[in-house]
Amino acid sequence: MSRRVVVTGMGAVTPLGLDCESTWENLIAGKSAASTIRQFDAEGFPVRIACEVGDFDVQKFIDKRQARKMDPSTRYGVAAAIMAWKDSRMDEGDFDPDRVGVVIGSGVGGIQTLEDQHSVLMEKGPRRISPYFIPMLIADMPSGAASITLGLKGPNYATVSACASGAHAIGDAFRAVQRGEADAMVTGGTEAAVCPMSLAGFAAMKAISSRNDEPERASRPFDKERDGFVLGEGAGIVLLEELEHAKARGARIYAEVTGYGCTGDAYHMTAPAPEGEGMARAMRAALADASIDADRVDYVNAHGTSTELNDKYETTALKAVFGEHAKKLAVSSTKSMVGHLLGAAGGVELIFTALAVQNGVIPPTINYEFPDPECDLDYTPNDARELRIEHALTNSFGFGGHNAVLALRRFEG
Amino acid sequence: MADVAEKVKQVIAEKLQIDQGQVTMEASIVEDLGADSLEQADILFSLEDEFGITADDTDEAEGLKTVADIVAYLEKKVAASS
Repeated sequence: MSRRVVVTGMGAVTPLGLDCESTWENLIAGKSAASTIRQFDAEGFPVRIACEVGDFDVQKFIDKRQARKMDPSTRYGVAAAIMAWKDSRMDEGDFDPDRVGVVIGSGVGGIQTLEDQHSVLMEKGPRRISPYFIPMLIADMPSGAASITLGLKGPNYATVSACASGAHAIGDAFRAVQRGEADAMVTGGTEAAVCPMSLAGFAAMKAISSRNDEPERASRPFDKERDGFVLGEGAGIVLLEELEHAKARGARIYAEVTGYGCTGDAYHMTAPAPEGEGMARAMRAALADASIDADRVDYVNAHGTSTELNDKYETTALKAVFGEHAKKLAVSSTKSMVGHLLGAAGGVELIFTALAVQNGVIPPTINYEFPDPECDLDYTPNDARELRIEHALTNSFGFGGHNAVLALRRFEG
Repeated sequence: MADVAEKVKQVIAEKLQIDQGQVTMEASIVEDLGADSLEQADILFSLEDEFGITADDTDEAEGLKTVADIVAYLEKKVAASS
């Protein structure tokens, strides 16, 4: 029998709050974090809205000397990792540093640093490029920096699979603990891509909503009037720990991770495969890995981006996997409130799913106004509701046709 | 050229996030002030920018150990370029 894996620590920096507690409160209150972009002047851009983190103070977590050598994506990731670690109350002597690793995913890495330094190159020439440019750019630095800060010497790397990066990271970390390569893993995703280059790029793809006059209504997953996602930023990091290791130190357990499934679409660079065929296979793989029948699942935290194709095909995929049970399933997209955190999405959404399971509360899909005949499931429209959840899934799908699904179970010690 | 020394101390203190009082003329950048190789490069690049010079004589620039070494080097460079 393989080792069991539980969530014993959580940390988050999101557009809805600078920690897990405030983020969760705003989430179940149905608040939108979207607004007109504040961190740079987006005048003249076709899209001028995003979900931004706001007044995050990195110096609460890292001293200024270290922080100035970190891209914002690393700052968010390290801050969330420190919060998750503190939350787990792991004391010195409770763990072997060689047996605790870090896997943090990011979709694009240090894109703000790339933007800044490209301007330096063009304006001042190659001799003025910062010696920190490369270490700040590379997408694996959040994992490296978190291990340095926390002194963790187990497996250490990053995953890159666009909007599934965080979920793949957690899936890999889950396997590492399950297989016995580590006793615990700090894992999740981080992203800081609210900047001119990426905003312009996503707008060029027509992937993001241009509802500039009503930002808080722009992210509307599964609604007929949806016109794209709203760019978000931040980090969601958890501590996954082997069950007996957690019990031995009397750790608080949020939920158990029971399964992981990942597939590839082999279809198109950015469009999901028709009918969500690859998404469905990933959900089935996660269910099989968790050894549970589909009809035992109570809640699915959907990828639900608010794009035309994702929401339509995720719905058909859910119907294919769950059959008649799909109608009874509680589904919701928390991206309606927090935005799309890209590589961090899988991290924050695992946290939201674990809190939903632990508290018996389903966060809503807000801005659900106009039913789409092609999206006809129970998306928990507009208001949170109470529901005892035994099993839940959280879906993440990325450009490139990467699908990652994690299964969680309510834990009763 | 007291202002060169002042400027150098200011840049080093800012880059290393330390009190300017710690940056004495005798202090070694690495041994006393704790700079790593990237920080040394960062300090030198900032000073190049600040004084409008190019530290392209790599061997000499890399041999600079103390604050006084850096100040002397910059004074020489500035004099040569004016």
